[in-house]
Amino acid sequence: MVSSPKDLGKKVSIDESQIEEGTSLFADSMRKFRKNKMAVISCILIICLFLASIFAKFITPYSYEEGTIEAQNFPPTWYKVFMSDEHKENLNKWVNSASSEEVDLFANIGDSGEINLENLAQETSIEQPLGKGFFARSINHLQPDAAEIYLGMSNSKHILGTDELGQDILSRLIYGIRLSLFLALTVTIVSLIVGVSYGSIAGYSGGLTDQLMMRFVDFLFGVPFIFLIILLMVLFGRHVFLIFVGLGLVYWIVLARIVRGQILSIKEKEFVMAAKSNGVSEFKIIFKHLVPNVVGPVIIFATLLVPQIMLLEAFLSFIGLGVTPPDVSLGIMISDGASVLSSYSWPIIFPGIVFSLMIFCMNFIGDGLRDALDPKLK
Amino acid sequence: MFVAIIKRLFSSFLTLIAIISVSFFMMKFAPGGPFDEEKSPPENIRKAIEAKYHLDKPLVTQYFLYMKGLAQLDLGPSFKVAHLRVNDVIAEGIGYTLRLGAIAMFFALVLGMTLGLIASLYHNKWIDHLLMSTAMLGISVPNIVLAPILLLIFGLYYKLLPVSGLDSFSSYILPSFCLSLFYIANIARLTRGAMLEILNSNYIRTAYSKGLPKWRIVIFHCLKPTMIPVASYLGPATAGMLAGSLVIEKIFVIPGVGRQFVDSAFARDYTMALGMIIFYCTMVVFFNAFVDISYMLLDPRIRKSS
Repeated sequence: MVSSPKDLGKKVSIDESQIEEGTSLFADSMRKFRKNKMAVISCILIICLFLASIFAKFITPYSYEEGTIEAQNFPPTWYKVFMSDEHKENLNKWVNSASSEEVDLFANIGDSGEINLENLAQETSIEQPLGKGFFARSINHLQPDAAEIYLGMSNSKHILGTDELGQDILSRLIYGIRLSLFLALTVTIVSLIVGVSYGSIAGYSGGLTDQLMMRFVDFLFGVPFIFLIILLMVLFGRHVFLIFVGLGLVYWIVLARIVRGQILSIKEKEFVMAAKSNGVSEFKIIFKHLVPNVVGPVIIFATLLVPQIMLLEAFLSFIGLGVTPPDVSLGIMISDGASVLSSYSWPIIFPGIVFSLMIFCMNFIGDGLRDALDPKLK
Repeated sequence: MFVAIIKRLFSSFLTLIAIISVSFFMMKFAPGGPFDEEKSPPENIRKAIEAKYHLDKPLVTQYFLYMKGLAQLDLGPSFKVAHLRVNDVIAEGIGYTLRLGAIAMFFALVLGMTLGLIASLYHNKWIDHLLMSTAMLGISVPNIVLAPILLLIFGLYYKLLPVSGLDSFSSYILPSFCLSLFYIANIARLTRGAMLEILNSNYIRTAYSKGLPKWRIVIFHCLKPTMIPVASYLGPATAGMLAGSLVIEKIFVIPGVGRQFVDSAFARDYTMALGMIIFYCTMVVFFNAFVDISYMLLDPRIRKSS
């Protein structure tokens, strides 16, 4: 330590262990984020789903747009059917009248052609009826004929069952996630580009330009866009591309406001002045010096935007104005599932769970990032 | 104050004009005319129909005729069903839609604020965590998933609530709850956040130091400022609920405006769809203005500055 003139020029030895290692702001935030267990789990889950949807072609067992008539309305593999006496009677009747080929299809029964209901009951634990669960309820409700019960029992190929058209639900689910995620991410990126550019240019320019640009944003803010998007879909048909355009037109508005506010608060700082005095062009000042400094709030907003867009897509698809078959999105699957709900519950249960889970995870990630990046924003 | 209110109303009026104009021209530029059927009618009949609906006039004239109709609160005829007017269809469904919306809004406000208040008073206790996780769930489960499943459980399986038909209050419970859950959750979160901030503020400390009982402080000192963020959320909430009613009315087979809208959209009845969109937008825009004005009245800082 240099404490007196005597020490000048002396070699100073520093105890290395005493130096505190500095952490960057980013590393700090990431550490905070990692501590948030729910957010990390959500992150992993979303990444898994994302990867699954990217490699959808290789991992899906079936096509998402082709079904077979024989495979209509298969329940999930693990599904246990609750059989009333009436069902048992039906089953017996069917077995007695069915051709030998049909009976052969009873993979787990044997080839005798004669079905011992007691054996069947043991194998499929029918004696433990799930009468109170609504999975079972839905079959009971319809009073399906025996053939349907049989199909439910021997379904080992379609893990999550099939829908009305005999399409494999698992495959459709993966493709549905793909379309929903792809749509949400694209729209988010588009809104990011437009919103950040607009907001930063308005904030940096100031004066009349800023006034005019923000007046326009204020004006747009009061417009209930959801209805205009619906009208757009009604009038110009239901193309996926139009959904992009419609949604992309909306969400940059909030972003532009956020970015402008942030830019206003930092544009008088010294580093901007330094850049100016060095003759850096305005474009470069905005996008190289100012924008990187507002990344925090922008990331938070973007992560919270993705689930919103997914919800809106599902909403549009549900009322029949979004994605059209044969394309499949989670919204379409939920809509299809809802229409057969009183007979079969699995076509809506699985997409519903996956969809809700995705929204849940993304909200958690957004909240986690907000806590980590900007503690003031709580 | 008065000037501010007038200003606000005027700006929403302008917004509305812009929305209507954009929608109108969007309709005019949409591919496919209203009478492009597979069997197109003979030339003279076609001309007569076009003359009847003013379609033979220049676009600008059509626009002004439409605006003139709107000024007289006339949304025009349907292009698909003869003698059917948009006004009549809306008048038929508006009762259901408004009742559904009002009950949903009531649920959202009362349940949301109560739950948020409870959570904030038990900050970081188990009840707070429970409520907030439930709220997170409520935000994440979209009504297109929630409504069919609740319908199945309560309506078809346990038969606690009627599935369809609208003859009693109980038949409104399920639809309006499904419509409002998202907003209950959001309002609970907002209320909790605002309450936590207020409970830490100086004037509440003063109130405590004066020896006021807790219930008095919560009700008389905290409640009003808590309403400010909630009030500002009501605008987007209304828009969202009206849009959500499209889905809910479809699922629960309620003959409201939303159901009619979806039907008209499928029938490609452009004027009907346009009329209903204008109707929805008008409701949202003016409700927003109303909320903003009440916001001015609630918050003395805004009241003084304007």
